[in-house]
Amino acid sequence: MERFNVTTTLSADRHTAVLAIAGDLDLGASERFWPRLERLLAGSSEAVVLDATSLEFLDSSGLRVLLRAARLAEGVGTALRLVAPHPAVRRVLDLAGAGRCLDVRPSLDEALA
Amino acid sequence: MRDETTGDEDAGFAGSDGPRAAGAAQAPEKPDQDDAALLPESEVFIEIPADRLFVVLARSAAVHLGAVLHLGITDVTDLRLAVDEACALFLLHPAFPDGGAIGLACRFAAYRDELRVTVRAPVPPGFAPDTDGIGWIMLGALVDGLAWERQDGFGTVTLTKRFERPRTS
Repeated sequence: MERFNVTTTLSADRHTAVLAIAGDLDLGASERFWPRLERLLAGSSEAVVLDATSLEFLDSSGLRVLLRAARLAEGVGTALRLVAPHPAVRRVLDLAGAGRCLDVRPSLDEALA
Repeated sequence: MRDETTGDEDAGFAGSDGPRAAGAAQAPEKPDQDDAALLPESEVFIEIPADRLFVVLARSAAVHLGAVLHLGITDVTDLRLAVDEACALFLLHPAFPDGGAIGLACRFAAYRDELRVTVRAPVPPGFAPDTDGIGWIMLGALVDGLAWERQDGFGTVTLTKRFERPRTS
């Protein structure tokens, strides 16, 4: 049983790639998630939204992947937004002060606005 | 937060609160009042393979124990994350041996006013957690006490989480 799932879609205007991540982004999942995220960020999307609405657990290994993605996005000129409403995920972002490095939105609608 | 890094010169394994933890694990048949205060009300041991895919089992144990102890949702969430990060201190360390042949031993000891969690594994000489890393820093914010000890070839991370009020059951 997979405890971490990734689904990629395009927004209605086809300018934004939406990567929906669900489950646990932990030390068992973060290593294999990075190549997929890296490929997406290196593509031609103007913006990438990481929709973590269904993400239930995030640890420091997963956070490192998100921070690495933010650095890569900045380097290639892609806007990266993170949707993170789950309290357990917000807790990690707050503990690490990651709000300074990540563009965190409370909902997918706001991330796509 | 404490950081107690020691060498391998001392004989016998004990956590950072060694005598207390040892006393709890080897309870006399009829402890006197002072000793009884040092004994955990409940203990859970779980050993998982030293493999990233098995850390979820330690997290699940933490969540279940938090529910049994009637901890609030915030404390349970923090405990789950803290146990995960404690395991990660070993598993993500570049000097930690690969493979599931060795195990991570997780001990949860609940006292009236606090929960003490130790994660222990064999480590190579000189092994120490990255105390400047984000994992250690997060751990320090999640728990009331954090300590590292290396002794007899084993490394032990000890987490102490105090309860806001004494538990009623």
